Amino acid sequence: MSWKALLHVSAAVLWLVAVGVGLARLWDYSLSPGAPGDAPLRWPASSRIERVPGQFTVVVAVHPHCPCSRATIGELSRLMTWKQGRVAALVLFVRPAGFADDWVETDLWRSAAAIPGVTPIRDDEGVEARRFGAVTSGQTMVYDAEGRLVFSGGVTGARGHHGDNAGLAAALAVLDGEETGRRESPVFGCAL
Amino acid sequence: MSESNVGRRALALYAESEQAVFRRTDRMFAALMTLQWLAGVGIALWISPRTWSGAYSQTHIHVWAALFLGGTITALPVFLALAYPGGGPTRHVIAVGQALTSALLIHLTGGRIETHFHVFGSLAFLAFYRDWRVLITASAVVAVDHFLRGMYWPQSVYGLLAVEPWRWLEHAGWVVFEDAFLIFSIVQSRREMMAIAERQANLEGVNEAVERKVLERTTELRESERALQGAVQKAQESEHFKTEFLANMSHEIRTPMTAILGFTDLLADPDLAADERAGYLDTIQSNGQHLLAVINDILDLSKISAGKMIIERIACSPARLIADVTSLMRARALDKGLTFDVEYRDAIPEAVQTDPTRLRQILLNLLGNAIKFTEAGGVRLAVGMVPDDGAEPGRFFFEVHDSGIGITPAAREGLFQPFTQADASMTRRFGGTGLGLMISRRLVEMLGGSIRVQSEPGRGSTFTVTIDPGPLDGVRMLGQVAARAATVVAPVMATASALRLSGRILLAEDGPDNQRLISFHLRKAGAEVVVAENGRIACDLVRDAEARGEPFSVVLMDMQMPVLDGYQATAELRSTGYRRPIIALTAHAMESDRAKCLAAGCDDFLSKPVSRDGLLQTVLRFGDGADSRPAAGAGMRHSG
Repeated sequence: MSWKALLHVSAAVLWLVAVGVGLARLWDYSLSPGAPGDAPLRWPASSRIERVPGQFTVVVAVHPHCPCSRATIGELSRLMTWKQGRVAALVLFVRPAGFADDWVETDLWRSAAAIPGVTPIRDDEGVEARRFGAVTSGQTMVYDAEGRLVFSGGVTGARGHHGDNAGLAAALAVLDGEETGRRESPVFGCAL
Repeated sequence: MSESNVGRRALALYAESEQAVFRRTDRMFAALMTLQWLAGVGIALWISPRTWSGAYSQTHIHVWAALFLGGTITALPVFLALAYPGGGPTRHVIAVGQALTSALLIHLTGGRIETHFHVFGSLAFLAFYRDWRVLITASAVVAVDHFLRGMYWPQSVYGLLAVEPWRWLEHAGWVVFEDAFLIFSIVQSRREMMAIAERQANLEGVNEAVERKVLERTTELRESERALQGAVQKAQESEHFKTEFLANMSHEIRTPMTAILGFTDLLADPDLAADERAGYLDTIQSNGQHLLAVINDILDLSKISAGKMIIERIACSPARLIADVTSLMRARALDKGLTFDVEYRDAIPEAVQTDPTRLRQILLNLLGNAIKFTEAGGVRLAVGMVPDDGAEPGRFFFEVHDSGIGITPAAREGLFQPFTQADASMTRRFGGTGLGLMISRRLVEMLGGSIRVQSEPGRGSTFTVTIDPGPLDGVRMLGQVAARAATVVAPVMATASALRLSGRILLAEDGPDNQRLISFHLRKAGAEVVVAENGRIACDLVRDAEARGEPFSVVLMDMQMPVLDGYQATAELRSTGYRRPIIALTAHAMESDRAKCLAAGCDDFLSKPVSRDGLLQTVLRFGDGADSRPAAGAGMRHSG
C-alpha cells in the first residue's frame, strides 16, 4: 500500500473514530439523568396548589426553557390521552427570581396548556417545586385520590427523547392500579 | 470509424458521461452537506439553544454537537468532493457521511420518526450518482446504526422501550425497499447513458466519415480545379501551338506548291530554252521532294500521336548505317562550304538490334538540322559506346556537333515539344516544319534511349543520342579502322536511267495522270504496258492474258479503284490460283496499309508519289519471276 493510500485510509479511520467518539459522548449525555428529587410521600400541606379530590393528580415540575422537557410534556400528553378524564395534571413552570412573569410562557407552556386535563401553573421562584422536592425539570409525581405519592421520577427514557420508557410505563401501571407501592425512575432534564 | 472503434468510442463516451455525473453529484453533495450541517446547527440553536440550571444557562450540548460533530461528519466528504471529485472513495465517504448525518439528526431530534425521512431523502440524493454501490454503502451504515442502537438503546431510534431483536431488519428492509427502486432506476439510467453514448459514437463516426469525405471531395475538387486550369492552359497553349503549326504547315506546303505550279506554268512556254527548261524541272523536283518530306513528317507525327508507330528490332550494322547517312549528308555540307567529319571514339559493335530505318531518320534529321543552322565551320558526327557500368546497361551513342547559331536556354525548353519550334522566325528563315526534333525524340525513346542537347548561342550545338543496342554477347567490336572499313559503301545500285525492263506489265490505275506517268516510266525502261481502269478490268485482263499464254510478268495494282478495288481484285486473283507478282500502289503510307496490302496477297508495296527509281527497281526485283510463285514467261533484264 502506498503512503498516499495509507494516509487516506488513516484519515478515514480517524474520521470514523472521531465521529464515533462524538456520537458516544452525545449518547452518554442523553442517558445521564439529572439529580433525583425527594418528593413528599403525601401531598404537601403547605402547597398553595390544590389536589383534585377523588382522582389521581399528576404534578410535573418543569423548567420552562429546558429543551429536554419537551419530551416530558410529550409523554404527559400521551399519558393524559390514555387516562383522559381519570387523571388531573398540574405542570409547575418554575420562574426563577429576576425573570418577568411571562418568561414562563414558552412553547412548553403552550403545549402543556393544550393538553386536556393539564393546568400550567407559574411557580414563582420555584416555591411549589421545592415543596414537592423537585430538583430536575421533568420530575413527575403521581398522587392517588387520598393524596399518597404513588410515583416519582421521569417519564422519558433519556434527555429529550420521546417514546416508551420505564418511567412512563410505571406511572401508567400505577394509574391503572396494576402496581401498588411507590415507584421511582430517573429524571432527564435541566436542573430547576 | 470501424465497428470496434465505434464500440470503444461509445465506452469512452460512457465513461466520460459517468465521470461527469460523479463530479457533478460530488459538487452537489459538497454544497448539500455544507448546507445540511449549517441547517443542523440552526435547528439545534432553535430547538435546544441552551441548557438550564435554574436562572443560569449555558449553550446546549446539542448545539456543540451540531457544530463540531456535524462539522466533523461533513468535513471529510466535502474535502474529498472538492479535492478528489469523481473518485470512487469520495462517493462512498459521502454516502457514509450522509448516513451518519441522518444518525446525528435522528439523535438530536430525540429519535423522532419523522427524522428518519432524512435517510430516505439521502438515498434519493445519493441515487444521483447513478452508482448503486453508493446506495449499498449508505444503507449498510444505516443498518449498522439501527442494529447497534436497537441492541443498546432502541428508544433512540424506534421510540420503544423494548424491541424485538429483528426490528433493525425491518427498518433496514424499508431502506432496501427504497434501494430496490433506486437501483432499478439507476440501472435504467445507465442503460440510457450507454445508449446515448452509442448514438453519440455513431454520430461522431458518421460525422467523421462525412468530414473525411468532404475533405477528400474538396481535395479532389481542388486537384480537379488545378488539373482543369492546367488542362485549360495546356489547351490554350496547344491551341496556340496548333495555330502556329498550321500556319507553318500552310507555309511549308504552299511554298513548294507555289514553286511547282509556277514553274510548271513556265514550262508551258514553247519558246523555253533547253537549259532553262532543265533548271525549271530541277526546281519543280526539289520542291516536290521538300513537299514530300513535309508530308512524311506530318504522317510520322500522326502515327506517333496515335501510338501506331511500330518499331522493329533487327540486326543491323551501325557502321554501314553511318556510312549511308554520311554519304548523303556530306555532300550537302560540302555544298554549303562546311566541313563534315565522322569520329569513332570507341570500338563499336559490328551489329546492333534496332530499327535501322528510324535510326537513320533520326541521324538524318539531326545532321540535316546541323547543316541547316550552320553557316560557317562544320559539322561533326561522333559515335561510340557508353560501357555497361553495372548500374546502367551499355548504350550506343551518337553526337552531332555543329558550329552553328546555337540555341538559347529558353528555346531549348520547348525544343522537343510538339507543335513548337525554337522560334517561329526560324521556320521563316531556315524552313522546315519544326517537327523533326520532336519526332526524333519520340523515336529515340522508342528505341530505348534518350536525346539531349547542349548549346551556346552563337557557338554551336551538340545533340547527343543514346540508344539501346540490344544484347551484345558474342558481337564483335570494331575499332576505328575496322569501322571505317565497314563503312565502305556497297556499289551504288544502278540509277533508274540505266535500268532496262522487258515483258508485259499490267498497270491497274484509275487516275489518268498516274496512268500516264507510270506507263511512261515503264515503257521508257522497255516494258510493254497494259492499263486497266479498275480492278474488274484488271482481273479480266490477267485471266485473258493467262489464257492466251501471254501472261503479265508483273501487275501494278492501285489499291483504291472504282468497281473493284485493289484489295478485292488481288484477293480474287489469288483465290483463282494466280501466283505471279502483284505490287500494290497506294497513297496511304502507313505501316498498317502495307500490312493490309500484303494480307490481300500483294508481293510488295509502293507508296505514292512513286519515284522512278523506286518503281523500276521494285519491278525489276519481281519482274524476272524471282517471286516464290511460278515464274512468268516474260523476262526482264538489267543493264547499265
